[in-house]
Amino acid sequence: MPKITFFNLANADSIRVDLASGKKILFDFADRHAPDDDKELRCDLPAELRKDLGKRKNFDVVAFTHLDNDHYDGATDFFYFEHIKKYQGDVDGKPRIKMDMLWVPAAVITESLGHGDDVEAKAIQKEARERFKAKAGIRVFSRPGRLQEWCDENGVNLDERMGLVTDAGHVAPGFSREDDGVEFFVHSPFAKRQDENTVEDRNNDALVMQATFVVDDVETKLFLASDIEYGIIEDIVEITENRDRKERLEWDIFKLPHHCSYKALGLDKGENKTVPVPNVKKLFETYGNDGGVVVSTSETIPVKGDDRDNQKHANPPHRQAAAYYSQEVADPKDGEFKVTMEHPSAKKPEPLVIEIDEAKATVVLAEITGAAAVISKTAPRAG
Amino acid sequence: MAKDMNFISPDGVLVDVDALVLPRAKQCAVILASGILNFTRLLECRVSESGGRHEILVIEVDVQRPQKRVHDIHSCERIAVIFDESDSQIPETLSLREDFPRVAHLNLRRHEKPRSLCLEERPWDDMKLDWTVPGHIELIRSWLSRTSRGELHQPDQPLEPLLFGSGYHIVIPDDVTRPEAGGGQQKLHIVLRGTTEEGRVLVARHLADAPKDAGGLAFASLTLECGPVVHGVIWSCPETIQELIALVIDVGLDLRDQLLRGLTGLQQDDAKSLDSGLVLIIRFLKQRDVDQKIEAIETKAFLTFSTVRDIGVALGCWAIHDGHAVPFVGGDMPSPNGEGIPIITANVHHTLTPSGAAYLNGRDFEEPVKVAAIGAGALGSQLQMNLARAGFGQWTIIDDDWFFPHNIARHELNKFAVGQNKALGVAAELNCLHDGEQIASMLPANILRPGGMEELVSRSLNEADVILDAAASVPVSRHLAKHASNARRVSVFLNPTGTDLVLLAEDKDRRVRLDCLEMQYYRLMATRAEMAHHLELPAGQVRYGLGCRDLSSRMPQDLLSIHAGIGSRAVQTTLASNDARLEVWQVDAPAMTVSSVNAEPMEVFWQEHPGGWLCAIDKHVLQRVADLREANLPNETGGVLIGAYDMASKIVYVVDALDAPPDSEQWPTLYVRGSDFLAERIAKIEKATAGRLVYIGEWHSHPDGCPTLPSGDDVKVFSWLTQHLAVESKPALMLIAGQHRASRLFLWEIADKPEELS
Repeated sequence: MPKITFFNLANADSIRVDLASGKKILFDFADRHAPDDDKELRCDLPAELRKDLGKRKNFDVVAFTHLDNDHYDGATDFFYFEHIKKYQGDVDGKPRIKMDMLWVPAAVITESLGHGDDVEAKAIQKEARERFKAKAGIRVFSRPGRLQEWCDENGVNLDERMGLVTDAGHVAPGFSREDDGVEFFVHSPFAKRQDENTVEDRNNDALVMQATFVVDDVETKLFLASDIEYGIIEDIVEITENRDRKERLEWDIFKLPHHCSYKALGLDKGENKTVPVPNVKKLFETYGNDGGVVVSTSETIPVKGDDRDNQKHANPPHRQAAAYYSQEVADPKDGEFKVTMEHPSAKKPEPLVIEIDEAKATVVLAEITGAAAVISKTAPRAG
Repeated sequence: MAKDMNFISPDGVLVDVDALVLPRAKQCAVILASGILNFTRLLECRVSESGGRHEILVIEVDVQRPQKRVHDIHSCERIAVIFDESDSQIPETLSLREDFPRVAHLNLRRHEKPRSLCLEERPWDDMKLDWTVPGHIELIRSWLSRTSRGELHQPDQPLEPLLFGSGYHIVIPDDVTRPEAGGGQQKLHIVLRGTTEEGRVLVARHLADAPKDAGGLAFASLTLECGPVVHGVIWSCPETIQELIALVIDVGLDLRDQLLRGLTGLQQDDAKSLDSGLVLIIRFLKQRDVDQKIEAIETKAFLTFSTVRDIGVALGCWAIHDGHAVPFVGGDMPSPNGEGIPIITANVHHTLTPSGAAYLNGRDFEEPVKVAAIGAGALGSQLQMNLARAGFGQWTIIDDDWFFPHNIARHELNKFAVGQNKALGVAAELNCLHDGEQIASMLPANILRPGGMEELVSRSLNEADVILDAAASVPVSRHLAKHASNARRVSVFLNPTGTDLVLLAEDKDRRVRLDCLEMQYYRLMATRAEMAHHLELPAGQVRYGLGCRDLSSRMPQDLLSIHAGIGSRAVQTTLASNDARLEVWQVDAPAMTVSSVNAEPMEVFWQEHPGGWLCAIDKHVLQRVADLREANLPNETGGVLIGAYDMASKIVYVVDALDAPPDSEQWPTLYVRGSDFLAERIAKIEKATAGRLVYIGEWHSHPDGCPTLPSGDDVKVFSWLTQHLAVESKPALMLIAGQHRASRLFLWEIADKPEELS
């Protein structure tokens, strides 16, 4: 049974997709756990991932949807970088986890990283570039032409590497409904933006996909929206509708963009509820299936008038956006609106697991108490 | 999040958690109020004093439910859990949602709402042992979750009962509950057998079968059928005929109409019927879902102690004038519907038939095997009872022995049989198992000396499909082996200490006869290490004669019981196959583990010889001499033959061949059998088999190209043998093994050429 795990990392993303075939795909990685903080509620992502991997030492695919640090934090202390020697040795006595295949949007290769960007972003970029040069272990999502300039500058023959590049509007190679019970359709980065913009914008050039899971002929669709803003969503809806591929806009599970930011819905945050622009409204309200699950990978939702809410330029999540998703998207569908840091409770959040079967998506609400709780965790130190 | 919806208000008055006194309610409230559980919240506590103290917790639970739902279960449901002061049942769990769907596993209460969730099949007393608050909450959440998926009732799970029992049970003759067997209307005699605080057991028989002096009451019975009814909702038991009529009308039974007709029939039939009680037997045809096949039938009895006369009045069937029932005619018929006639719902138990017994034993029932059972001793009686309980066999028990008090220690019979013939006692017990036709008859005969019963004994052996010998007697087995009956023989007996059970079973075509299997069993004893202690005697006991089946007088019943269990299973599995079987089960007494030793029964050749002698030799011996011959070529070789005599029937059984003693002389055209260690080897065999296997003759081989006919020297050896054995009236026996693994056997005298064997 396919399973999707959203890790509780506050305003950061890491989502693991487990397929019935045993393949594992990780979208983004952000180790933000502060082990010495008693009040820490974010999960220890490397520990969670290692617990799940068991003896396994690899992911079939690791996708970095864009190079913001809430999507890669700590990656150089966890993954094995094929092309960077210093990121190959053990970490705390544990072997690094291999990324059999790396998925990145073109910007990860082409953007020029400056002083503001940390060594980890640079490491991921170097790894992606070297893999691309080596023609192994990478897929770049882009209109091919977008890579031309960088290839020319770096003496890389793009024609020889066309097989490593997948444009928007296509299905990512390597997974099929038949063999894996899933296919990944690429929505972004798409050509219109890539043609228009001269200045690269990470969030809006991020990797956006719709995954369709098939179990006993029943489809369940997951929309992974990274950190894109409303304008990109409008474009995605428009382009996809124009190409008559409305089924690619449908969703049963929606990973909200940018930690429940109002900017994914429209320009105006609103007093109590954000009003989305028409095409965004359509994506959420029309293309969402009954009983669908909306997931905000974010901090808890602020309450009106609290410190976070009162900030002038408040960071996400925004309660007005949450009100929209909860009241106008989830409720009318008799679905669910879930916030990673509030599941199962804000006091003690845990990774949110969605199982997929012939009854489509089920948010797992497992109460683990007593002895079961004791044996599922490492015991405190004894004297 | 909870949506706007209507909730049913539970009973009782609002109280604080502190005001709760029932331990489970309090524990539950405290834990929920602490907020430690993620998916459950305590909304309020209530106390009701109606019908004893009840403490009610109103809670809200989050439900794990799939996107695609079979039943409309909400992500958050409001539930009342009612703790009862008596703590005698699982706390009742109600959905307070007004529009909670009607689904499977609900208890039907007098009021349809709030709906009552049937959480567990396990008895509450059992659940109490590991009851915890989170565990109970999880039961509720899991019930809701699985209901939302439509998975609460698994496809391979049996259907739910329609009605929970009331504590009353009634045993009813099998034919009364089956309409096709003439159910309909019957006259029954019902006695009250068992009474406890919690229930009553009633036993019904046909009125005609009831003994005159038996207490009890006469009842008229009416068997009806209704349905189909989709299982899932569990009804509460109706308390009056009126309620029953209302209950079954929804599942297609116009009970009032049926009763009117039935009662009128009874009245016309027999005036005495008016004074009898009434039992309604209703067969509910159950299906898993609408449009699915009838998967099970639930039969319930509804008894009323009101008389047919009063019921008729209550149903408007007739009026009573001067003690007579006067039917209503024409338009003045009122239409009351049984108001005020109380009824009791009883679980129906059918009397057991052999086919029912077979089913309950996990067997396919076939036409009963006709068994002539010889010996109704400790093992025999228990074995016969085991088999009969499994619905196996149509029995003739043959034994002339008496049942004495000491037999009780290890016998199927009890002190009431003391002084009776064992066969009589066992046959009577077997016939007490089931209703209907008798499954056992008996002959109080000694099989070896039947006297005046010879014809009866012979007939029962001849008519049997199987002769099951549990007489623990070699002469009986030999006698049975030679009897003219075509029935397949199966012999079971114990070793002297009772640790081992032996089964010797002929093949269906009787190619390997019981007496030959006996010989192969001796060979097993003589050759297999596991059998070393097989014939050991109990401490302090001395063997006399050839008593390898002597039973100790001190032997634990538990060993016998184990062997009777193994034996009854082995008899069934053996008869299911056409092959012969030779197997010994050994109980390692301290550990009580059982292991088995067996040998494949070998094909037997019978040959007639001069002097009226018969010889039985099996393939094992022929293979053995052929192997030894080939191993010693080009030299001749030989040795002695081991076997047994049946002097009375002039039979020699050749069971084994020993190889050449070390001091033998072996040349290409000459063999002289030595004697070093020979006596010791034979003594060892005799000891291992309690003297059943002895020296019987000589064998030697001839080289290739030389016939298996005696040479001049061989003739001399033969006359030397004759000379020595004549004293015991035993025949000389010589076997010559030749080329192509063929052998020839000479017995009594060397006259014409017996056929070669291979």
